[in-house]
Amino acid sequence: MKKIYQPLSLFLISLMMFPVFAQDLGNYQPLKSSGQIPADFLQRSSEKYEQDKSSINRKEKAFDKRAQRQFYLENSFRVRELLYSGKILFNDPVGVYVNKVADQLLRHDPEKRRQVRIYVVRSSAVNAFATSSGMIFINLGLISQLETESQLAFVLAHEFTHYFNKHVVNRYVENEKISTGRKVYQSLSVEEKMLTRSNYSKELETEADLHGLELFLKSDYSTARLKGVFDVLQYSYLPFDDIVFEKSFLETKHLQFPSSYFLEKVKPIVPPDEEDEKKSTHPSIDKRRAYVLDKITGNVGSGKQTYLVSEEQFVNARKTARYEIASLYLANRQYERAMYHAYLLLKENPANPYLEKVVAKSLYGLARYASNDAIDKVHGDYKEVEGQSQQVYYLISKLKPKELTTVALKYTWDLKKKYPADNELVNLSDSLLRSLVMKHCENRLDFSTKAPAELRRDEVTLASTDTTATQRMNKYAKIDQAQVSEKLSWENHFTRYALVENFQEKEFAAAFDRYWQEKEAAGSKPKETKKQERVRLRHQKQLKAKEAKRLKKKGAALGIDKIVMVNPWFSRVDQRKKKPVQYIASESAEIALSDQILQNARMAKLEIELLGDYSFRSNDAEKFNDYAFLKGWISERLKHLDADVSMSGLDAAQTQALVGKYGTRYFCWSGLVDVRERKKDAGTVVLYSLLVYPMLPYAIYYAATPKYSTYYYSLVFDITTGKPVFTDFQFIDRKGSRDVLNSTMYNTFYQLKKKK
Amino acid sequence: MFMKNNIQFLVFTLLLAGSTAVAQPGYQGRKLSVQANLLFLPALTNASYSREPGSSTFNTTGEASADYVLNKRNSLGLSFRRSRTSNINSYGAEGISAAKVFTNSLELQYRIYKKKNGNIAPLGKYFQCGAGMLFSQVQEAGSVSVIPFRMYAFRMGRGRNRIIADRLILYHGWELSHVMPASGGEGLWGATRYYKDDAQTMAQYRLWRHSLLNFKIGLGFLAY
Repeated sequence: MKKIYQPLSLFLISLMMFPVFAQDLGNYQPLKSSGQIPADFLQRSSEKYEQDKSSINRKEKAFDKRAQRQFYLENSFRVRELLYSGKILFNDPVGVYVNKVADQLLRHDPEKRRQVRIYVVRSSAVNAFATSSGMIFINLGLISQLETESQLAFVLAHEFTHYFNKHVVNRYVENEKISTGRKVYQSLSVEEKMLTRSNYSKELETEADLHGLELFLKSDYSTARLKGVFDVLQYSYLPFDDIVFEKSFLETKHLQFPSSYFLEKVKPIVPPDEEDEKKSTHPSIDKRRAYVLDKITGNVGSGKQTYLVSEEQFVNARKTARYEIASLYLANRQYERAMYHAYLLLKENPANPYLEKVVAKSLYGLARYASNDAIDKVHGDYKEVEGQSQQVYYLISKLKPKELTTVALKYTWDLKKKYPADNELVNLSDSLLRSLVMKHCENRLDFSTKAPAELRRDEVTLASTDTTATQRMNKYAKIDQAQVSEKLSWENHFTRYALVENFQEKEFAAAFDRYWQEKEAAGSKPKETKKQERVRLRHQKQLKAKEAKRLKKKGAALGIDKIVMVNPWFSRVDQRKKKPVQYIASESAEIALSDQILQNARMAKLEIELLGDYSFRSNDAEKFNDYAFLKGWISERLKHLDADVSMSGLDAAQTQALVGKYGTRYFCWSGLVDVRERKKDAGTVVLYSLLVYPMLPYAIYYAATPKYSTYYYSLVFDITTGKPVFTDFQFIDRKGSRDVLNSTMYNTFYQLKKKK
Repeated sequence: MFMKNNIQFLVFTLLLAGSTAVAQPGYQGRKLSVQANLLFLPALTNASYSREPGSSTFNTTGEASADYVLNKRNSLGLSFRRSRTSNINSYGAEGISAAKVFTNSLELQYRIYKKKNGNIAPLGKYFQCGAGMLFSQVQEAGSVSVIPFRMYAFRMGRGRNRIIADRLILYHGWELSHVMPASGGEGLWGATRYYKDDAQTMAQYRLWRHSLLNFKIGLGFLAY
């Protein structure tokens, strides 16, 4: 039997492993965590703090011990915040691979291997970092740019050294010494303190490079391609490749950009200026490259390899990282970067639906922001961009809102035709068409429905060029004609024929006409008399008053039966103290808050599901994924709200799945901050009370107690539309005590539950 | 009979207010609270004449009340008060023997909670006004007969409710009152005292002064 089980289990394991890097990239799904939630995520920060605190050497000096205690306190809470930022993945395909590389790197030292845990961060930044507790975080941005597995191993070795040599805590203690001017740092100026901090940090980085290299050299990884890791760091601000952005990428037969919309020559890539190295936390890349190369020259190592896990797995992990980053750029509203990134990946995987949708979503995002006069919030300055991606930034800077919307519509509509079952594309194209007609179309004939005999590009004019007739004109007629010609010039008119093919489709033409009629109906209201205007205004006023009365009496009265509350948090801050954030008190308050939320929801008869970091158990990976997605989703929504731009959901597939899963489309984001401050007038009150001495006890009480204030917010989103349906921001000039919170929260839930 | 009618009227008013207030939140949905309060006035100059002239005194009145939340900002309450003075002297008047004043009162109170974040009835700071009837009687020392009389009371004040353990209400505040005889009344304001009995006049005068300013503390229970 055993003989049968063994191959069978191996087969099952191989089946489980296969999907790790066999993701169907055409139907790419975002990276997700899986399996059991690691203990790092489940341990409370206060417990971690107590654990770390007990590791402090009692023989150390009092200042050092105090600084270390403070570090462990802050660190345990900040790391937990990071773990629950929604960006950290566990047991994900890329993370599994990176851990395998770590296994290889520390194969000769299993004890050390047990001490470190590696997690992947959903961030496009090219970075990796270590914590004092052995957690190593590596960004997808870094993985996406690395060239070999050995380079990844070197990065890990560098981070391991930071942990094994206790760099994180040492840096904190040293910085405290510098800030407080202890001993040798006593007489330093502010500038000198800054430089000293920077120098100390550089020392640690150099040590991490050199000791990391030693660790690396002990492994079976070859140093052959190690040099490249510094190139990756040096040019980390660039996309992962530099390929000419072809003008034809977004062009069609009848949508042809004027040549002036493209740069003749892009800005060349030059090594970053390292003038500011003095203030940097890291030594310059050139120096790092030099001393590492110095150590490894001629030390390739016989029998050593660039890939120990497997080249295929490395390539797949990197590809996954690159695909994932495309979505991250979209979420961060870096639409131009997302578009160029997708463009690069499309070169490798032409007609990939996921990548094509990234392009569509990028164009949609840009068009929406441009239509709302908020393009500056998302558009990068092309002059700052180096390399071929500059073309994308330049093109976007040249396109006017109407043109951008037309280009976005053209691309998205055509893509919708290609993938008719894709609801996201249906929504995006419909939204763009509506925007184009309602906002940008001045005339029904702005867009030609018939193809021209010949598409004339880059010509000065489309107007009559009858020279004899022109000669007969007087001066003013010539000026008029020049202006008409200018208006009709290709540059101002290249979108006229852009939708010709689309108008041949019944669906497009019908949708266009429908929106046009809607626009006409809105604009064709007969002019009202003064009396009619008075009646209308009075009626509006009455309606407004009625609504205000209803709001006063019933509140928002949304009639919602169930909500999902994402990460309710509570922070206690005491401004009277040197370190204002009260971490331990905040944790206790946050745990109690969850119970309060459930209690108040029960009282308001509102069904509520909590997706908070203290509510997870080890087998809640699926919920954790939902939580991570919602954190990112809400963060993105808030950015759009801040810019006052209404966006259709770019993640309709995922949001629809959540609606089905939780049985509601309402997701709430809520939090509290309880602040204590010193009363500024305490002295004056005591002084005056001396004149009216019976008031003295009260004055002393007044002076001894802090000024309390509480900030409460609650936002409820309808995730199918991406719009907030309920917002409540309150400043309460009282202590955030249980009764105040109950009352405020109940009021929120009551308004959500109450029917109109 | 009068009292019975009054109670019926007040209960009816309360129920009516409640029926229009179905949409009101209350503290976690709980709208009705009952409270036991103590009103007190530390009279440093013996303003109420309950002791020997020149000595200080501490007047107290007990109150039981029920309060019903109408909406986020308003509540309506019914209160019953009882007080009894000491049998010390003649309330500062000459020619009258020592007497006690017994008073029961029934009042309607209306509270308007401050329009401020965090204040949702019955929690937080409020302004209160109310009116009611005092049913008093004065009994001279050594006499078995009592002189009953009635007075109107008009009150206003401010207070603050805190809620602990989701059910208990802690209350503190102050109150200004004006009480006046249900018939006649000029006697309270000056030299004209033409009441049937000086003891009654003096008792009314004492009640007026007694009620003028009071501090209140109380403990309540959020019923439902």
